Amino acid sequence: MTTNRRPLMALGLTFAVLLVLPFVATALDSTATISLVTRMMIYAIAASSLNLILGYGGMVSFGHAAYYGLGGYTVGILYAHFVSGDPLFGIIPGTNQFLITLPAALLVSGLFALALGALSLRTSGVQFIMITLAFAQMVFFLFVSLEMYGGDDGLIIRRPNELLGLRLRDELTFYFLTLGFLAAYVGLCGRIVNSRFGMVIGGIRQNERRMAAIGVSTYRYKLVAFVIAGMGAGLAGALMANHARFVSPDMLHWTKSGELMIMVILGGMGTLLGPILGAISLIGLESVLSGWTENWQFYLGPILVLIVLFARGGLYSLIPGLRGNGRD
Amino acid sequence: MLRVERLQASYGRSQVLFGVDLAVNEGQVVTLLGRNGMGKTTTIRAIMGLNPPSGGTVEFRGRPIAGLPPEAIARLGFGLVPEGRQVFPTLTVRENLVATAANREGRRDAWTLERVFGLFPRLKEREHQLARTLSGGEQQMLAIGRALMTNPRLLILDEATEGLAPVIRAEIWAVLDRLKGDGLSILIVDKNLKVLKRLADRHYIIEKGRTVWQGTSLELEREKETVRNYIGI
Repeated sequence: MTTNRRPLMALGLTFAVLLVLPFVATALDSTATISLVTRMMIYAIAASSLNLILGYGGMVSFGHAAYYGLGGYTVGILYAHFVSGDPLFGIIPGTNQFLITLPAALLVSGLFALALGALSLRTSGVQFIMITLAFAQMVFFLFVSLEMYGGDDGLIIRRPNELLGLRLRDELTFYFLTLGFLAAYVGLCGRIVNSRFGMVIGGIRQNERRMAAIGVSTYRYKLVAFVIAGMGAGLAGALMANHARFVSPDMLHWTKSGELMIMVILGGMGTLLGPILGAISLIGLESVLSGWTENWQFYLGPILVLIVLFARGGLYSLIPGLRGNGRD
Repeated sequence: MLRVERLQASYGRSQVLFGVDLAVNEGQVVTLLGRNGMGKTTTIRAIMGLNPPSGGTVEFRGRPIAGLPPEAIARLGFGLVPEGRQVFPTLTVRENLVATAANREGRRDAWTLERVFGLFPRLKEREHQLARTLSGGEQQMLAIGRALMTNPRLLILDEATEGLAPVIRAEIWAVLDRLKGDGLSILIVDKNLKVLKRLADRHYIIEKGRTVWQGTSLELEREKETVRNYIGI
């Protein structure tokens, strides 16, 4: 909003904390923290991309893990072919260059989002949820059955990709790389939602027929948003593949789509900061609770229910001064 | 410009329109009159493709449009100000105006924010306010402004002054008068006969889904009794 600067300040503050955090962690000799927060930030990118269509566009896509997994597998498969030496499909040589694998991951996830969106966006409501879920599950089972790429067991990426002579294996380097991508993607989302395109998307969420009556071809707008969101998840997947040095069908499972959705709703739909908060808290809760007990999911459930019940705008609305900015 | 003949439409299994005839010529202001529930809004929705007609013809600028999707119809040059205003509540006034703005025919005298604010100075004052914080009258002005920003050939107003204060109504009528002066074709659904008699060129009355009377303002005056029976005021 033009008048309310608070959301922007909160966002800036979050990034400032993320910027100094690794230095504090290093001083405290807690390198595990750096790796943990890197994971949080990668999920924050994926959740932000889902938020673009779920929060801003009102499209309840239940297949977001598909793009995330495809982004990861693109990196993994290109690496596998790089190691083995034989080209993919007999023509595409494998590579371990991040400047090639990342655009490839974006391309693959974007094209898949285009195809899936072109079909699913003709429906709405429950059908839309089911179709996105069904397509994502198709991809999941495809990779489970692809023995060539590890099937159920997934693919190990022995060394992370190379990028301009940086050591991506180094936790700190990868941390800042991820932070940079997160800032860039959230910045892009901010530009999008405040553009004319974003206004139309917001209008479609409120009332699609109304938009159509004014002459807006809503399908095309939704499809473009869908592709941008898919590519964002692909970016997150490519980063995760390099961070974990491992990809598996787990990345594509429908529960992963659910997790991303929880992050968005938990953090605050339709806000830039919300998905970041959601990803940080969910991953944080998961790691804290699983440190205490094996049955951590048993405790996570009620906590999520309480937050959703008592903070209807998500964690975002609990920050003083950020309630009721009208974009919820 | 717009020709509607023997238009039929239904909601599910119940037919609502049985034969609506209606025509708007270039630069004309035309009204659609009738009691509540006689099919006025349904007629508008059928023309716009929001509730596709089940029979009859709808022609816009010489081209049959029945059966096209609503956005395709709107893009041909309709500016709809729907019943109940229907602005986008969480967008600001300015965003409501620019989000769907379009000049599809590349007109030189295209509508701009400044021109809309010139028509409705209140909107200028509220430029950065969320639309849901506006009064009913202001939302109505915004809905009209939003329609104008698509540079329509034909402006359609469905109950544009319903439930508004007399002062606001007068302001809106004055704006419509100005738009008529600029040569814009307008189709108005309203009940305010006194104003419409002066503003409009032609009137159509529908009853139970059929056009039962049509004529000029002069004829409307002359056949007062018949008209009163139809619209009941």
